[in-house]
Formats: sequence, C-alpha cells, structure tokens
Amino acid sequence: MIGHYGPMLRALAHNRRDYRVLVFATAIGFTVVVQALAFASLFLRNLEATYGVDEDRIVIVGAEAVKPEASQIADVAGAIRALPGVEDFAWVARKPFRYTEFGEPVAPIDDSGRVQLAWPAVGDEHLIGTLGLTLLAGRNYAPRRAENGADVEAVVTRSLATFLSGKESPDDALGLRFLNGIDTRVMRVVGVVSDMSVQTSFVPDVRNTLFTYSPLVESLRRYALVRVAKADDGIVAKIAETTRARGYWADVTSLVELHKLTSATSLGAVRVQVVVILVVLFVGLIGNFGAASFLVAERSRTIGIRRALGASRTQIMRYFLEENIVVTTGGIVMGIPLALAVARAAEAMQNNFILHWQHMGIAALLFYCTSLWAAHAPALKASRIPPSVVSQAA
Amino acid sequence: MSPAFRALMMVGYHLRHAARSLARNPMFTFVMELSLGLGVALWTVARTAVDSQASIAVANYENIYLVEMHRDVVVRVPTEGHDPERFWDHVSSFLLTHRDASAITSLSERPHTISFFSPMLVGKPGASPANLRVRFTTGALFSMFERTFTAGAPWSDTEEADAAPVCVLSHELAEKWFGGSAHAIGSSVRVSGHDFRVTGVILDDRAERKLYDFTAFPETDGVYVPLETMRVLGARPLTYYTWGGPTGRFDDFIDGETAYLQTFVELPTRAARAAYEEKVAGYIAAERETNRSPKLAYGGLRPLERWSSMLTATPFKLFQLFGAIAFVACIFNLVRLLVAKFSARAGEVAIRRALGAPRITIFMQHLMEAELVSCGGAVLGLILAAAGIAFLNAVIPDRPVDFSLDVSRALVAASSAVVAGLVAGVYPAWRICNVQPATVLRRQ
Repeated sequence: MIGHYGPMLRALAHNRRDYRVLVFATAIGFTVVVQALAFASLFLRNLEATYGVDEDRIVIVGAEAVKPEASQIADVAGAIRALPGVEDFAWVARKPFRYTEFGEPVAPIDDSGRVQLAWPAVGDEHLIGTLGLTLLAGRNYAPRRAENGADVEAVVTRSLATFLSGKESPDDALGLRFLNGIDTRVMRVVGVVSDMSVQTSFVPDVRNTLFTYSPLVESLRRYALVRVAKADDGIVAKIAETTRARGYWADVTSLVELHKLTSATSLGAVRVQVVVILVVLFVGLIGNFGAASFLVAERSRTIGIRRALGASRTQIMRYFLEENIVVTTGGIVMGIPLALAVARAAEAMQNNFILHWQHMGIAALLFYCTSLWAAHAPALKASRIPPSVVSQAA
Repeated sequence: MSPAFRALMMVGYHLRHAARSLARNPMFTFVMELSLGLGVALWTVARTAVDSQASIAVANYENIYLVEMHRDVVVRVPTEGHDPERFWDHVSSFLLTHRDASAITSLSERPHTISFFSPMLVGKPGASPANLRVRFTTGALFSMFERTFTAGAPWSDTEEADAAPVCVLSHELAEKWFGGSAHAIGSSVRVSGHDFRVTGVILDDRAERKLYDFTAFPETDGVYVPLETMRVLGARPLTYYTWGGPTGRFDDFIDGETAYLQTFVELPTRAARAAYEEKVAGYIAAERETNRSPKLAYGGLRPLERWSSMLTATPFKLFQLFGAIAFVACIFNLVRLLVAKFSARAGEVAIRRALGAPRITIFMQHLMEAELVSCGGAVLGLILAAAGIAFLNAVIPDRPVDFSLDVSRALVAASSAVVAGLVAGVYPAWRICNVQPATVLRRQ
C-alpha cells in the first residue's frame, strides 16, 4: 500500500511549494465548514425542539401588560370556559414559551454547588392540566400561598427532578428541598411531570421547568392559557371576541403560531449557514479545479512518458484523483486543530455551541467529494494525453 | 521625463499588459473574481449584521452612560453548561428599581432618562386596537437619543410631572392612523382603554438601533407616554426582576424591589462623571445601611459604546468570526488560482527574463494582474453582499434593526477586496518573477 503511494508522496514532497497553498486553503475552508455545520446544528436543535406540551390544543390570551380588575378576570375566565371546545383554562404570570423571559437559577440544598437554570411557571392550579403534562409522581401544588417560613410547594419537570435528586426515578425527587431564584426561596418538590421545553433569552431550550402557585396571579396576571379541542383560527377568533367584549383587551394567539414565529429565526439561521457552507465549497471547488488543471498542463510531458512506458489511461486518471485526495487529506488534517481552536473560541462566546466529531466527518466528506469532483475533469484530460506528446515536445 | 511621470507610465504599461493577459482567458478571470467576490460578500454580510446592531446613531454618545446596580446574590457557584454568575450580572445590573432610579435622578442636575416598555393594545378611538409596544419614559429620552420629530414636540415638563395623558407617536403609526404627522398632532390615541393626546411624531428608522431598547425583537416602540402614566394604565414591564416577596398589589410591584427601569445619564466631562459616581456610591452606601434585602451594589456607569456592543447577539458575532475566516479561505483560494495561472505562463516569462526583462517588471506586471482581479472581485463582492444582506433581512425575522449596506460599509468591503488582491498577488508574482530561464526553457 505504502509502496503504491511512495512515488506520489515523493512527488508531492518534491513539489511541496505547489501544494502548500492548496493545503492551507483546504484547511481554512474546512474550518469554516465545520463551524458552520456546528452552528447550523445548534439552530436545528432549536428548530426540532418541541415545547413538549399539546401545542395544537393551546391558545394564549393576553400578551399585554395591564392590570385587570378582579371582577373582570372572573368574568373573562368564566366566559372563555363556557365557550364550546374549551376544555381547560389557567392563568400564568409569566409569558410562556417565547424567549422574552429569563430563566432562574435552581440549586439543590447540599454541598455539591450544582446550579442549573429553570423556567418558573407561576400560575394557578389548572396550569399543568391545561398544558397537558403528565403527572409522573406525587401531586399538583396546593392552590394557596406558602405561609411565612414554610417551603413553597413546587411541581418540577422530569429533567429538573433528575438534576435535583441525581436519580432517574421521579419518585426519588419527591420531598426534596431546593433554592430557587435570586431571592433564594426554599421550595419543596411535591410532584414530577413530564418534560416540557421553554426558549429563554439565554438558553434556547430549557427543559427544567418548575410550577408553583403564586398570589401574583390573582391581581397581576398577564396571560391565560386555554386548552381547546383544536386551536384553529375559529376558536382563536372566538376567544379574542369574548375577551374584548368584556373590556379585557388582550392579544390572542395559538401556541402553534407562536412556535412558527420562534422557529422562523432558527430556520433563517440554518439557511444562512447552508449558504456559508455552499459558498466555501464552491470556492474550494473552483480553486481545486484551477489547481488541478494547472498541474495537468504542467505535467503533460511526464504523463506522456508514463503513457509511453505502458501506463493505462485509467492509471493516469487514478493517479491524479489519488493525488487530489492526498492533498485534501493534508488540508483536513491541518484543518482539524484549527477547527478545534476556533470552536473553543466559539464555545466561549455561545453557551450551547457544541462541536461534534460528526461535524468534522461531514465536512471532510464534503471536501473529499468536492475535490474529487473538481479534479475529475482535469484528470480525465490528463488520461487523454497521448504518448506522442513526448516526441512532439522533444 | 520626471521620475514620477515615468513611474506613472510604467504603471499604465503594467495595467495594459495585465488587462490583456486577463482578457485572454475571460472565464478563468471571472472565476478568480468570483472566488474573491464571494469571500468579500460573506465577510461584508456578517460584518454588516454586527455593525448594524452595534452602530450608534447618537452624535453625543461619548457622554451618555447606563447606570447599573446589582444585588449581592446568595448563590454564586460555577455550573456545568451555564454560567449563572454571568447570567445574573447581565440580567440584574442594567435594570433599576423605581425607588433607585428616582433617587439617583434627584441626586444630580445632569439630564437623565428612565424608561421601560410594555406591549399594550393601542389604536384610534373607535377602531380595532393593535398589540403595540408602548414605551413609558421621561421626556429627556428624545433629546438624549437625538430622536427626530417630524411634527410637534415632546410633552412638557408639567405634563410629565402630572402624568398627563399625552403621547408621542412613531411616524409610521401617524401615517397609518391619521394620514400624516401633522394631522396626528392634537389627535387622540386610545392606549389600553384610555385616551392620550398626541404631542409629537418621531421618525422611526428601522436601520437604526434604539439603544434604550435592549430586546432583539423586530417590533419597535410605536407609542411613547410619560413614565408615571403606568399607574393609571396599570402597565407592567415585560422584563423585570423582583427580589421582594409577592404581595399581589400592583403598587408594591411597581414601587417595591422590582428592577425594570433602564436609566441613562448624560455626563459631559470626566469631572462630572467622577462627581456623579461619588454621589451614587454615597446613595448606595446609605441604602445598604437600611434593611433592604438583598443588598444593593453599585454596578458602575456603562458607556453607550460598550452597552451597544453588549446588545449585539452572540450568534451574529460568531457569524462575523466565521465570515472573516471564510474571507481568508477565499484569499488563499485566489492565491492558488493565481499560482496556477502565472505558472502556466512560465515559458513566456522565462523568454522575457532571458531577453533581459528585470524581475521587478515581471513582479509588478503580475501584481497588477492580481489587483485588476481584485477590482473585479470588489464589484462582484458588493453586488453579492447587497443580495446577501437582502437575504439576511428576509430569513431572520427576529432582528433588532434592518441590516443595510451603507456607504462606509461598502467602502470598507471594496478596499478589503483591493487589499486582499494585493496580498494574494504577492506570492504568485514573486514565484513567477523568480523562474530560472534556463530550467524552464530546457523543459520546453
């Protein structure tokens, strides 16, 4: 095997000046494609992420920040509940799902020093049922405020339960106490529900959610979630009409629409990265083509000699293609540490930027395919050089 | 003939020679120009995305500072995956409570502006309302951030003090609802069920970042109302941080330990800044003596320039980094294409060298050729960049400003292409001017 590539490697070493630029260009191009793939996969993760709730059955009411009167609240809630197709209704004090809200730190009360971010869903006792989450262990929180000094009851998602208890079983998290938020309230897990996902400003996919009851909801509520049989335009319009007829000016939208809105930017970012990859590959393609054409033109006499000595057209073509692969491999090998260094810088800038070996693999494959494609025509041209070219040159 | 004129003549000669050489193989020339143009375009688009967000359209920006305060939080430990310390500092420092914002405003005669925004339903009386962003602010915001009034003026100090129902509209809304800025003045706008009189209309340029708006959403403030009207409207900030125990009362929320106000101050000199900082530090020291919990800490004055840079979303900064690396890759690619092109001409150059052509002449001729390629690359790059920016605006809906290629960015792009051509041309030109005539001619 080595014997087969020996003459080629010797030739490459001899003409290293010609190949140096080619290898550098491939290395840098490879670095960009690897980063773009990692960047695109970050947004693809966002795109694929579902909220983990019954998205097509939820309507959000009240993206406005107005204090409604208590009587108005009861009136609006009653009217919406009475609408045909409405199955459940919950008030929530924080805007659900879209990333305008900040997550809060959550830490178990132990010496481990572990902290994760969680989205606090502060609402009434209908919240979990309205979202359609499954209770895996324990019970729902009690619809009353914690008395002075008492722990605040919380229902947590499975991911958060696993983080707090360090164990997979949801039952192990029941009764655990933990700190939440900047004012470090002590909370106690009374129930565990299936995972849901929230996009916050800082972390695009927070699976840790904790549900608690708060009297804030009684007078300062801003959002209502309505669970319906199917959240189509008809029911959204009916709910909007019902709220406005009662003087409660609220923006009404389905969760599906909200998801489309948040996904649009992720999708756009993926498209931008695809363009970056295509541009770099295209530039690499034309560069490879130019370089390969030049090498073929420069070596026409050598090729003629080899042909005169009995080399077949296939062997000549194969030689040029293999040579291209060797040079591309050199570029990729040089590009790997460069890609890792850039990825490290990117990771420092963006929390969830993760470079996987798969990104390197895909980028390498793309570069091999591109370079082979670019070298194919010049290699074919080389294979057609007749042995007579030697005598003509002479 | 003067040396300068002779040099000029030589440049003209090299240019003609280079142009002829490029014209001999137009397809290959185009490929080289495209290779560079794509790199320039990619880098320019990425740069524009960051610059559009970070640019400051305020002439007096060096004198404006964001006042920051934070809390001595209890849990401060490193984590896996996320950094809560950075997170907290980031979140809590640039928002102040109403109590702190009001107190520091009264400490100094320097112009301050305090504001927050809230989405509310707004419309013409009798018409269907729209969900718009309303900014609750002090009137100093308009002068501090140099907002242009197309009609009318900000509300008066008396109206501000009285929390009068007055407002300033964006030009877009004035056009939509009243058919023009002038018609809007004196008209009524219904904000969450309350009538507000329009005192002024401001220009709303989507290509300009409003630095008092820290969100990255495309929705801009459509209506501006005096800060204290939040009490009448019962308005709550969309973004806030609260440390106090919940009482369920609106006033406790608004006036209590809830940070939701951005406070900017104008300090024209270093001495004014030092004096101001001393006063704020004194206020915080006095507050720390009280039983406010958790305790306040002074976060310092953040210059507008640093604030603007912080507002630029990290993915865009990463995009800029990758764009720059891709540009370098394209420059290397141009190098290899030029090497291939020049090397194919080694025989011709060898003959010229054998006939006595000096190396510098060969070098300059080839460098000129690279420069001509870079000029073509610059033009192509600008066209592709303009298309790329339009593409970016189309596919990224959640952006704080419209990305645009202004004259300065276009000039930077064009000059980068020219410099890149020069850099890329040096090595191939140096190689070709160093060919050994005997060696090459023997091979012919």
